[in-house]
Amino acid sequence: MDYLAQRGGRVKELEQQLAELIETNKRTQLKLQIAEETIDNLKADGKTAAAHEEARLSQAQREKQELEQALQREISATSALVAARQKAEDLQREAEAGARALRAQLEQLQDSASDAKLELTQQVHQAQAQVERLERNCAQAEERIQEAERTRRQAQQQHEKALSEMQRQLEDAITIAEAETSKRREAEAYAAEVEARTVSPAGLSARSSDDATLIKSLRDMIKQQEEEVGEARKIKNHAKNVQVVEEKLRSAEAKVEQAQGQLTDYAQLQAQVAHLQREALRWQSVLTDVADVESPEDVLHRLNQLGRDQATATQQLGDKEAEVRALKESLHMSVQQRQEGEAALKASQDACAELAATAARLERKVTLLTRERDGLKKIIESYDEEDGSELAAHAPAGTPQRAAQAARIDQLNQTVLALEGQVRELEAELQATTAAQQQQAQVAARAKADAESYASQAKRLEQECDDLGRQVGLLQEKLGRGEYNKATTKVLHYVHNPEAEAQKEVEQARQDALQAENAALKAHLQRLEAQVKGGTAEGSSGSEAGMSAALAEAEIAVLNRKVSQLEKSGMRLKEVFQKHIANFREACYYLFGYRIDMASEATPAAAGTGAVPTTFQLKPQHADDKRALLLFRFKDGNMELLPNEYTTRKLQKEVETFIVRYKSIPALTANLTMDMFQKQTQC
Amino acid sequence: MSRQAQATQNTITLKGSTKVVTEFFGYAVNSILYQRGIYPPEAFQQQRKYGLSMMVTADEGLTKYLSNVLQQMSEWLLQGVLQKMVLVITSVNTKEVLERWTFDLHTDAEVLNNGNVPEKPESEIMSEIQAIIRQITASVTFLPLLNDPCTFDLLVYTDAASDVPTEWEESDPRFIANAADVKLRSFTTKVHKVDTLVSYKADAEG
Repeated sequence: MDYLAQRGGRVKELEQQLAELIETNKRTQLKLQIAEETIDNLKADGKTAAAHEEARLSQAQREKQELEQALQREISATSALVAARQKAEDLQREAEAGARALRAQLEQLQDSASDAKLELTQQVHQAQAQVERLERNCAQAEERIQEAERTRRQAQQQHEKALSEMQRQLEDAITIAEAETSKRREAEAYAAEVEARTVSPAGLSARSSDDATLIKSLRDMIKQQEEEVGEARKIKNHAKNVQVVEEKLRSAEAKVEQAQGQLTDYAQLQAQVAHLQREALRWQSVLTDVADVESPEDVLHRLNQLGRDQATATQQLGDKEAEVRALKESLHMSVQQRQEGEAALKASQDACAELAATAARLERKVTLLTRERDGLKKIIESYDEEDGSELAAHAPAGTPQRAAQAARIDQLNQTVLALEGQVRELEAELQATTAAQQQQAQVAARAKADAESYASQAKRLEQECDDLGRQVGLLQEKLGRGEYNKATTKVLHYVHNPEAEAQKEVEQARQDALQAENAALKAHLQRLEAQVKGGTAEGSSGSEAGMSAALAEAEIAVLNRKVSQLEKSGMRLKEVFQKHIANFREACYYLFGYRIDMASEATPAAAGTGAVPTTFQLKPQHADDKRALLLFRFKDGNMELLPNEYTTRKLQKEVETFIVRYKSIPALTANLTMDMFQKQTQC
Repeated sequence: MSRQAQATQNTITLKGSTKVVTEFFGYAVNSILYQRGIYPPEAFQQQRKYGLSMMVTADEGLTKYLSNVLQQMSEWLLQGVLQKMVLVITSVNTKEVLERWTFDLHTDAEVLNNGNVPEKPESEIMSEIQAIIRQITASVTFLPLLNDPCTFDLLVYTDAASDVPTEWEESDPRFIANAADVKLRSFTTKVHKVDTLVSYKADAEG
C-alpha cells in the first residue's frame, strides 16, 4: 500500500512535473513563438534594414556617381579652363608681340617724322632764304629801276642840252659856212677877175707884183676857208653825233620801258611774295596744329614718307584687324569660359553643399544605424541570455531545438555582421565622399582663382582690344584723308576741269585789266614822248591829265569786265524770270480760264510821269469764237474794260450788269466762263 | 559667264556693277554740287532715281565734263584699276580746298580675275545707294557754309601702272589741313564696294 501510495504519489509528482513540463514546454513554445516572432520581426527588420541599406547604398552609389560625374565635369571644366588660359596666354603673347611691333613701327615712324622734320626745316630755311633773296632781288630791281629812271632823266637832260648846243653850233656853223661861202665866192670872183686881168697882156707886167701878193693872200684865204670848211665838217660830224645821241636816248627809253616792265615784274613778284607769305602764314597756322611738322614742305615730305609707309601700314592694318578679330574672339571665348567656369564653380559649390548635406544625412543615418545595431545587439543579447538560461534550464544541449536556436542566433549574428560591414562600407564611402568633397572644394577654389585671373586677363585683353581699335581708327582716318602710296597709286584729274576753267576766267579777267592798264600807260608814255619831242612847254599839267586819262581807261576796262559779268548774270536771271513768268501764265490759264497777254503803252509822256498804262488782253479758254477777247487797261490802280467788237456786240448786257452796275470784273469773267462752259458741254 | 554679260535681277557681273557704280558717282556728284551750292539751283533739273527726286545739272559744259570723266572712270572700273574718286571743292579766290568728298572703291579680286557672278538683289543695292544719297542731302546740316564762290575738281586714284589718257594729267591729292571727317554709309554690289567719307575744313573756333 505504501508502495502503491508512493507510486501514486510518484505518479502525481510525475503528472505534476509533466504538467509543469507541459506548461514549461508551452511557455517555451510560447517563448519560442515569441522568439520566432521576434526573429521574424528581426528578419523583417533586417530585411527592412537591408532594404534601407540597399536603398541607402543605391542612393549613395547614385550620389557617388553624381559626384563622380560632377568631378569629371569639374575636371573637364578645369582642363578646358587651363586650355583657355593657355590660349589666352598665347593670344596675350601674340597681342604683346603685335603691340611691340606696333611700338617699333611707331618709333620708326617717329624717327622718320623727325628726319622729315629736319629735312623740312632745312627746306623751310631754304624757302625763307629764297624769299629773302627774292626780296633782295626785288629791292635791287627797284634800285635798278630808280637808277635807270635817273639815268634816263640825266640822258634826257644831256640830250636836250647837247641838242640845244648842237643846234646852236649848227646854226653858228651854218652862218659861218654861209659867210665863208660868200667870201669864197667873192674870192673866186675876184680870182677870176684877177686871172682875166692876168690873161690880158697889157697890165701883166705892171701889176705882176701886186697880183702875186694878192694871189698869195687869196691862197691864204682859201686855206683859211678850207680850214673853216673842215671845221664845218667837224660840226657836221658833231651833228651826226647828235643822231647817235638820239639813238642813245632811244636806247635809254627802251631801258626805261624795260625798267617799267621790271616794275610790273616787281609788282608781280611782290604779289607772289605776298601770296607766298600768306601761304607761309597759313602753313604755319596749319603746322602749329600738326604735330612733328613745322613747314608746308614738311607736310609734303611727311606725306611722301607716309605714302611710302602706307602700303606697309595697310598691310599692318589688315594684320591688326585680323589680330583684333582674333583677340575679340578669344576675349569672347575667355568670357564664355569664365562664365562656364563660374557656372562650374557654382555647380561645384552646390555639389559641395549637397555633398555636405548628404554627408550629414549619412552621418545621421550611421548614428541611427549604430543605435539600431546596438539596440538589436542588446535585444539579441537579451534573447541569448534568456535562451541560454532557458536552454540551460529546459532544453538540454544537443537537442534539435537548441541547435535550431543556435543556428538562428548565428544567422542573426551574421546579419548583424553584414549590417556592420555595410555600415563600415558606408562609413568608408562617407570618408571617400568627404575626401572627394574636399578635393572638389580645392578644385572649386582653384577654378575660382582661375576665373579671377581670367577676368583680369579679359579686362587686359579688352583694354588691348580698345587700344588696337583706336590704332585701327587712326589708320582708317589716315586712309580716309586720302593718303596713298605713290609707288602703287597715282592721282589723276581731267585737264579741262571746272576749277581750271574758273581759274582761267579769273586769270583772263586779271589779264584784261592789266592789258587795259598797260594800254593806258602806253598811251600816257606816248604822250610824254610827244611832249619831250615837242618841248616841255606844256609842263606837268599835261602829264597829270594823261595819268588821269590812263587811270580812267583802266577803270573803264575793269568796269567793262564787270559789265560783261553782270550782263551774263542778268541774262541768266532773265532766262529764269521768263521761265517763271511762262509758268505763271500757264498756271493762270489753267486756274482761271483766261490766257493773259500784257502790253505796256510806253509813251514818252507817260514815261515822264512814271504812270505807264498797261493793257491786258484776256482770251477765254472755253471760247468757240476766235474774236472772243476782253481788253482791260490798268492805270493808276484802276482796271477798266476797253470796248471792242466782242464786248459791244455780245456782252453788252453783261457789261452793263457787272461792270457798270456792280463794278466787278471777276463777276463778268466768271459769268462769261460759265456761259461758255455750259455752251460747250450742252452741245 | 563672260564679263560682257549684263546684270540680271539677282546676279551682277563686272559690267553691270560698273554701270551701277558709275551711275551712282554721277548722281552723287550732281547731288553734292546742288546741295553745296557750287552751281546755281536754276542750273539743275529734277529727275526721279533710286526712289528719290534727284537734282541733275542742265549746264551744258558741266554735263560734258561729267560725261567725259565718268566714261573714263567706267573704263578704269572695268579694268579694275580705279581705287578712289575724290570730289574737291575749292574757293575760286583763294584756291583753298574747303571740302573733300571721298568715294573709296574696293573691287572683288575673284570677280575681276575669275569672272565669278555674285548674287545680290538689285532692290537691296538701290536701297543702300538711296541711304547714301539721303545722307549727302542731310550733310548740309553739319557742313560749314560756303561763303566764297566755289568750284570743284574730280580726282581719281588709279593703279600706278594704268595708262594715262591724253586729256588727263597727274594732280596733287589736294588734302585739307586740320580736317574733320564724317564717314557716311557704304554700298556694295558684291563686285564693288563703295565707302563714302566727307572731310571738311574744321572751323577755327570749333
